[in-house]
Amino acid sequence: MNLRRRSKSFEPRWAKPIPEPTPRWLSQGILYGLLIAGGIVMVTPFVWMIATSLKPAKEVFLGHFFPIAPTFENYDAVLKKVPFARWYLNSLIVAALTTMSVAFFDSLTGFALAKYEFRGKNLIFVFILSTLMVPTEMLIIPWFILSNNLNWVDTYWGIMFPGVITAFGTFLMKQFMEGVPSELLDAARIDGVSEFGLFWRIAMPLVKPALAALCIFTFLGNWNAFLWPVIITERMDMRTVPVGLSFFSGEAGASWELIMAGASMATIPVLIVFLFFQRQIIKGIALTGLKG
Amino acid sequence: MKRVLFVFVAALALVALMTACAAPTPEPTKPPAPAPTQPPAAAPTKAPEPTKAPEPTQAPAPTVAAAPVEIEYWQYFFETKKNLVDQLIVEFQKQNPNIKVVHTTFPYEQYNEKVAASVPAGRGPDVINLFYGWLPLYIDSGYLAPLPEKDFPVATIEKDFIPMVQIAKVDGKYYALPTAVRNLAIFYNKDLWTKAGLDATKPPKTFDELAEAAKKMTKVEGGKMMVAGWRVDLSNQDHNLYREILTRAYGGIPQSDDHKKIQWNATPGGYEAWQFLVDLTAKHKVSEPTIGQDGPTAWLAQQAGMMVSGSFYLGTAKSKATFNWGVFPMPAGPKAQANFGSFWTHGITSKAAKDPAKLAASVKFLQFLTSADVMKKWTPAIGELPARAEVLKDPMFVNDPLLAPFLQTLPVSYASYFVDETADRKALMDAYDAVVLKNADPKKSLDEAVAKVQKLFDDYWAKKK
Amino acid sequence: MALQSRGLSLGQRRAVWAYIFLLVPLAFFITIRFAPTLFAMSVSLFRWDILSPNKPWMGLKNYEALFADPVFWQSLTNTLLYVALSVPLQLVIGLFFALLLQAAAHWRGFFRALYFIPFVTSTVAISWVWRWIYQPSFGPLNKLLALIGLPEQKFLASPDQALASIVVAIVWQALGFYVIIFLAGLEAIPTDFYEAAKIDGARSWEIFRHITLPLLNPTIVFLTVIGTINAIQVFTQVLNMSFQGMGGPLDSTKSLVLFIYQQGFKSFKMGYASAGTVVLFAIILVITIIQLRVTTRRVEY
Repeated sequence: MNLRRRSKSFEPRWAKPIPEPTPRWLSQGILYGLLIAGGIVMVTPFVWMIATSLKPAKEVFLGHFFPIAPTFENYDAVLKKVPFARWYLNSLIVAALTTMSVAFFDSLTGFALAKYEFRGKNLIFVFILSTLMVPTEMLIIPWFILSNNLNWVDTYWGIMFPGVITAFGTFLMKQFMEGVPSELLDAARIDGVSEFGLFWRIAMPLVKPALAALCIFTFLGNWNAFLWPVIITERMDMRTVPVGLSFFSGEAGASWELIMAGASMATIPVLIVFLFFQRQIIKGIALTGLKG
Repeated sequence: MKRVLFVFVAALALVALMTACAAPTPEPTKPPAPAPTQPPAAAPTKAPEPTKAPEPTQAPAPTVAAAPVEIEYWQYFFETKKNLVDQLIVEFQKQNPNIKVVHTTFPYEQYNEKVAASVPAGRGPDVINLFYGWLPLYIDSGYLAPLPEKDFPVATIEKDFIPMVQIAKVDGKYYALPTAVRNLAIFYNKDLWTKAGLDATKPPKTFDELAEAAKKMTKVEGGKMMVAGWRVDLSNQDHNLYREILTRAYGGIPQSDDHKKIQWNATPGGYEAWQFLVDLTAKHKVSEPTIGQDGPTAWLAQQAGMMVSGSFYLGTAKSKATFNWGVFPMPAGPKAQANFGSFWTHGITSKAAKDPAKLAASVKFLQFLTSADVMKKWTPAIGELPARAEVLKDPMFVNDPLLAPFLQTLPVSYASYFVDETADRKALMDAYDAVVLKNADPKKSLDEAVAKVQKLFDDYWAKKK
Repeated sequence: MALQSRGLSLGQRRAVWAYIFLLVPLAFFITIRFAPTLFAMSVSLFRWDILSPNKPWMGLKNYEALFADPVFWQSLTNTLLYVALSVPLQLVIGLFFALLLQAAAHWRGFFRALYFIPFVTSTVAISWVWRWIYQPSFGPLNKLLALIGLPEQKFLASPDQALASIVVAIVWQALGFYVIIFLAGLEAIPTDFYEAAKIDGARSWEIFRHITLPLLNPTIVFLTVIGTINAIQVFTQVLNMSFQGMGGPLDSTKSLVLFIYQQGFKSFKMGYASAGTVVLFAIILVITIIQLRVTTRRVEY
C-alpha cells in the first residue's frame, strides 16, 4: 500500500534533538479543561430546551434558566392534544426503512465506484454528486405532481422516496470503500467468491464504522425531516414528529413550552440509541480508512 | 462488534416489518417507476378550469342526493378552530345524514405553501379556508369557483354581512364568505399602566395620547431600556397599523379604489403617519428592536407596556400573561379613525364545482359555516368577531369587556388589498429598519417602500391583461 | 499476478458487474433526482407562477430580472459569507476537539456523546434556543458580557452582527458531525506511524504536520466538499432565527436558498425562483469541482 511508501520519506526530517516533554499531569489537565469547557458550551442550549419543556406556560417568558415550579404538564399536553404516539411510530418507520435502504444501496454504489474500473465512472460520480447541488425545496413541486399521479400521498413510501438512496452516503461510502485493499478482493476472487459476495462478505465488514456513521446520519436526517413530510401528508395519522411539532407554532405565536417538550421527547431516545452505537462508528477502523 | 451491528439492523428490520404490516398502506419495496418528465410547456393544459365554473343544471333538492357524498374541508391549524370545527361537523352531519365532511388541517406557517403545491398537481379539497389577502391569486388562477348566485345571492350577502367581505367580490361575483373577522386593538399591561401613574378608566383616545402614555410607561436604567412603553413591531401587526390605520388617521387613503395605485406617500398625511410611527423608536424612544424577541414576546415578558394585536390573540393572552392586562380600542388620529380588518374565509373550489353532488354538499356546508348560529358559537370559542351585522349586535358580545374594544371600531375597519402579502409587509419592515437601524431618511425610506410595493401591483395587473 | 494472465475480458466482466450494481441507484437518481431537477430548472424559462393557469415562455427574462435584483446579490454575498465563515471554523474546531478527544485517556465516549448532542437535536427547536441566548435585553449572552465588563451587543437585531450570530449557531450544531468524522479518520491512521515518528524524535507539531494532516487528507476532502455544499444551501437556521423568517434585519442574513424559497413559495414566482436555483447549482458545481481537484491532488512531503 502507498502508506508504507510515504512513511519512508518522513525519516530524514526527524533527525532532531528530543524536545522537553510537557509533564503528563499538566497536559492532561489542560486537555480535560478544554474538553469540559467545550462540553458546557455544547450542552447548555440543550439543557435549556429540557428546562423550558418543564416550565408552565406562564413561566416561559420570564427569562429564568430553570423552571420555578417544574411540571410535566407540557408533556402531558403534547400527548393529549395530538396523536403524538402515532407520529412517533410514523417517524420511526420512515427513518428506519430509509436508513436500511440507504445503508445497502449507498454502500453498493460506493463499492462499485471505488473498486471497479469502467467507462464513465467519474462522470457517474460527478452526476450523483451533482444531485446534492439543487436545494430540495425546488423539487417539491415535481415530486408532489409525481406522488399525486402515483397515489403516494399519505403513504410511508411517499414520505420516504426522495431519500432512499443518497448522494451524500454514496460519496461517504466511496471514500471508505477506497480503503478496502484490492489485494484482499483479488484473493477472495481466487477463492471463488462472487462479485456480490465481495461486496457483502468482504468489503461491508471492513467499512462497518463508516456504515454505522452513515446509518446514524441518515436516521437523524429523516427523523428531523420537515418540509417534504408537511407537503406529502394530509391525514393527521400519517404525519411525522417534526411536522407535528409545527402544529404548536401558529398565528398567535408559538407555544414554546410544548415545542420544547415535543422536541425533548423526539431527541432523548435518539441520543440514547447513539450512546449505544457510537462505539461502532469509531472503533475497528484500523483496516480501512477514508481515501481521496 | 459485528454482532451489535447486526442486532441493530435486525431490530430495525423487525420494527419496520411489524409496523409495515400494521401500516394502512402497503410498502412498495422497489424504487418507483420512472417519473413522468413533464415539460413545463404542457402545464397550462393541466391547469384548473377557467374561472367560469359550470352552473349546476338541477336545482338542489331539499335532500341532496340518495347516495352519501363526501366532501373535504381544509383549514390551517388553530387549536380552538380545529376543535370547534370538529364539533360543528358532527352537528352538520346530523342535520345532513347524506353528507360526510372530512376535515384536514395543516401547520399555519406552511398552509399557503401546501395549498399552492397542490394546485399544479390538481389536488385539493372541496371547501377551503383561505386568508382574504390571498384571494386575488386564488381567484385569478381559477382555483375557486364563484358562489352560486341562487344559494348566495349577492344582494343578500351585502345586506347581511359587514362591508369588509366585499373584498372577495370579483366581477360582481362572490368567491368566498367568512364566518368571522378580526380587527386590531391595543393590548396593555394594567400593572405597568398603573405604576406609570396613568388612569385605567381613561383609555387614550388619540395616537398622540397613546404616545404620551407610552413615554410614561417606558423605563430606562443606566441608559438601557428595561421596559418599552409600546413595542413597535412591524413584522407582527404594526405594518397593518401603518398601512391601513395611521395613513387614514392622518388623512390619507392607502390605495386607489381600483387597487392599482399605492398612495401611502401621495398625501402629506401619509408621510406624517410614517413619521409618527418611526418617531416612537427614533425620537420618543418608547421602543427598541432589541426589546423581547418580538412584540408579543416582549409584552408577555412584561418588557413592553403595550402592543397592537388582534382579537385572535385574546386566547393566548389569557393563558400566558402573568399580570393584569386589558384592551383599548384603536385610537383616532388628527383626521379620522380607522382600523385594519382581516379575515379567513371559506370558498368552494373549482374541483368541487365540477361535480353537482359535491357542489350541492359544499354549498350546504358553506351555508352552515356562515350561519348566525355558528357565529354565535365561533366568537366565544375563538375570539374572532361575527361577520354578520345582526350577530354583532348580540348583547353577549357588546357587553364583553374584552370584545367590546374590537367591536367599537369594526364599522371603520378596512381590509387591505394584497397581491403579495409577504413582500408587501417586508417592504414596510425594511423601510422601518432602515430608519431605526441605519438612520435613513424617513421620507426616502417610505418612498422606497411605496416603489417596491407599487412594482408588485404593477406586475400583478400587467399579468392580468 | 493472475490479473494480467486473464487479460481484458476479466476487466470487462468486472465492469459489467459494476454496471449491475449501479443499475438501481442510477435508475433512482435519474428518475427521482435528475428528472425533477431538469423540470425545476426548465421552469426558469417560463413565467411559472404556481397559481396562474398561464405559464408563458420568458426566455432568459427571469435571469435578466434576477441579475438586476439587489436582494439576489445581497443573498449571494451573504451565502458566500456563510460558506467562508462556517466551513473553516467547522473544520478547525472540529479537528481541534477530535484531536483532544483522541488524546483523552478517560471519558472519551462521554465527551463524544456530549459533542454530538446538538447534532441530534431538532434544528427548529434549537434555533429558538439560540434566539433566546442572543436576546439582547434578557438573554444570557449579554448578561455574561456584562459580567466580564464588556458592552452589550444586539446580535440578531443588528444588521452587522446577525449573520455572524447565525454562523455561530450553525457551527455549534454541526460540530458533532465534524468531530465524529474526524475521529473516524484519525483512528484510521495506523499507530505504528506515530510510534516510528516518536522513536525518530519528532515533535508533536511535526507529527501533526507531517503524518496526521496528510493522512487525514481524504477526511478533509470529504468534510470540505460536504461542508461547503451544506453551507451554500443554508436555510433552516436562517428561516428560524431571523424575525418572521424573512432573512432580516434588512436582508442581512438572507441566504440564497431562503431567497429562492421566498420567491417560489411565498410569492409563488417559481420561474424566478428556478432561475436562482440554476445559478446556485452552477456555483456549487464549480466550487465542488475545484475543491475535488485541489484537495485530492498528491501532496509532496
